[in-house]
Amino acid sequence: MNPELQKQISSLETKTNLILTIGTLLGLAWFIDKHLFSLGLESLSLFSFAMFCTISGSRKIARALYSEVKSNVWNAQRFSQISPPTLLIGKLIGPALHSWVVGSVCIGVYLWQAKDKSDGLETTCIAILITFLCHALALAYALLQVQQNRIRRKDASILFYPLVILFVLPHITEIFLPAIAEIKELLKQCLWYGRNYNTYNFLASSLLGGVTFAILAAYRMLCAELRIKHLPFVWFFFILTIGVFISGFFTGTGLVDASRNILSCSVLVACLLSYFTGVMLKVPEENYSILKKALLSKNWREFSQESPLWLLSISIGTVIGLINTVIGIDPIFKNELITNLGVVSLTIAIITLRDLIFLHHLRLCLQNRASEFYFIILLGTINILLPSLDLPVGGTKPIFSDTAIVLAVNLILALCFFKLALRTHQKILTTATQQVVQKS
Amino acid sequence: MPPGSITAVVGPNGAGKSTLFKCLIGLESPIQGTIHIDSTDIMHNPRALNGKIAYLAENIGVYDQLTIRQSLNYAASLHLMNAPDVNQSVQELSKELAIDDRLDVKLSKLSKGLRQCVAIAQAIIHSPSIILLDEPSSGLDPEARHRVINLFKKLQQNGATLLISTHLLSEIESYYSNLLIIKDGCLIRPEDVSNAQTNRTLIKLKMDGGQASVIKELEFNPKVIFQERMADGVTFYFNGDKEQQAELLKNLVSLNSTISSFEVVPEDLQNKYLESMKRNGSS
Repeated sequence: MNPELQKQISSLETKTNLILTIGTLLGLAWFIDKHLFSLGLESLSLFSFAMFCTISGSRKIARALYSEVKSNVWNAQRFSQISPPTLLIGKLIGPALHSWVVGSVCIGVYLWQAKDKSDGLETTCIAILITFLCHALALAYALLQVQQNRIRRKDASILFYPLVILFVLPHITEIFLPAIAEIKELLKQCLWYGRNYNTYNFLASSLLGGVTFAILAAYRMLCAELRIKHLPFVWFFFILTIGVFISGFFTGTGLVDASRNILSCSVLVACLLSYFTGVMLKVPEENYSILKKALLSKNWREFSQESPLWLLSISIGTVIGLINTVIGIDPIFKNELITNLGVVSLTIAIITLRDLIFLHHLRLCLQNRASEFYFIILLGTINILLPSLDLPVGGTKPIFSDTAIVLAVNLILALCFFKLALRTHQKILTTATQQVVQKS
Repeated sequence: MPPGSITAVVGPNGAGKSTLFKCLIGLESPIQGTIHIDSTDIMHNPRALNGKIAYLAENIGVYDQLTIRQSLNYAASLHLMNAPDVNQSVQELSKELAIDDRLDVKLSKLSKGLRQCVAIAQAIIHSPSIILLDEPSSGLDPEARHRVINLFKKLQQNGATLLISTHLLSEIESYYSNLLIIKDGCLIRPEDVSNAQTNRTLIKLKMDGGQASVIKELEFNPKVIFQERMADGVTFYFNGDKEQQAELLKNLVSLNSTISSFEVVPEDLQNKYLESMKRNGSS
């Protein structure tokens, strides 16, 4: 038996507790069915499933990991020979086992009471998929929190995030925001790549994809905790899949159109994820030392394995942006929806790179709050002074009409910030070395 | 670190002992430098030696809901041990640490010392060849401490290399072979201080008269390093063997001084540690 699962089962609440919960639930179902039928046992049992299995199970999974970290037993697992899949199954199913047992009773009652059995089965499948998604996301989030808490840097101020969206991100939000309303409409019709799909099938397939990526995310986070290095293929496929999914709502059946839209959309997704991970996640300083070493020795494998998510995302975005530039020079906008962005996508990627290198340079040389303050002020000013792109959407007036010039200006800025960041990092290393030499 | 040795890592709180241990097993990365154990680069292959190394963290936790047997079985399964080997290891270790009569007791019902014994057993259940122990004696009573010391000695005899971080210098004195002192993240005594190899002795000299001539003679002796001067005598380090000590005493007596005592003070680990700290500016 999976040792992690066995341990989790041994650590679970007592069997008496479980039997009592199931007994109470069944008694309640019988009572409602006999005396209070107007309440609707069908929806009540589904609600109970959501409460007991989906929400409570997710909470238990995250809490089990936090308590292992708090009680100092997590390092023993990190420093063991156990394989990540074994640990993943144990951590995903073990703490939520009690919730699954109670949840299956709720689902049983729901199916027994369902007026339309086929509808009931469909809803059950969706509910179970949502529960798996929540559980996997809870584990991935808890693992991320554990990693982040280990880095000795304060979290950014809450005000920082809306300010980033307001001042730094308009070049992406201007494209995404108008599209959201139309995508919502198309999502209702289930019109995807020019074809109509059955709502249930579409939702179930999308959820299945989401569950797969959530489990892969938890698996990769677990690998990072166990110090197993991987090439970032999952992240690459995640960006591409989101690109494929979103662009499906505003693309017809044409293959050329579809491929251009997928690439354009993927660049935007990569840039958004890059901003999200770059701003939200802390990266330890030693990580940049390893990256620098790998870069200087041209060890690209190690470079990609050790890259933080923001750098990975923007690297992927830049590469796809380059491909986009080569295959579709002229940007096309239709009905305010993202279509072939051409060279604009590469420019957006370079602007993102510029911003995030600058942010990380500031984080290396300044304290938390000061780095956030200067980042917002300086990039807000740059974005106002250099309204970046000649886009037919959004309200800003461009200074440069030629996108290639905008691209060149931002590339030069990104390189300047990169040089500054390298110099700051070297300064940190020299100071640390001098201190050690002096003490020795 | 030579194989089959016991190295004591000592230093004030916050010196970086635990961080060093975490770097050695790859749980933390140093900003600069590399770490090699058995020719394996730990930073590139952090999991390569997981089966060979044992690590007992400071304030290690245990699973309160599990029994000692379940806990040890789980620790063994983390290292992919076979069932027959697990049973044998559980029996041997629990006997060695005197917890064999409580194997089916839940850990929540055990005292701090017994939980520490379980933690030690969990860490070394897979018979590792390199053992890193961070404060292993914390919370142990004298009897348990004695059993743990015997276990460490036994592991060393079986060829294991032990690296023990501790504040209890008097305890490790009886079995350590190397000493590393760390302060503010730096090794302040880079050379290994071996108990057997040192040729330096601390001598306490007491006199009833003729002190000036004795002190003058000692000051001119290149093998003498003064440690403390008192009203009726002096304490100094002498770099030389027993014959040279006898020669020194003969010279001092011939100076018409009244030497009331010439005592070789056994230098304990505590003294070595405090002296190192003094040399490096500790209060």
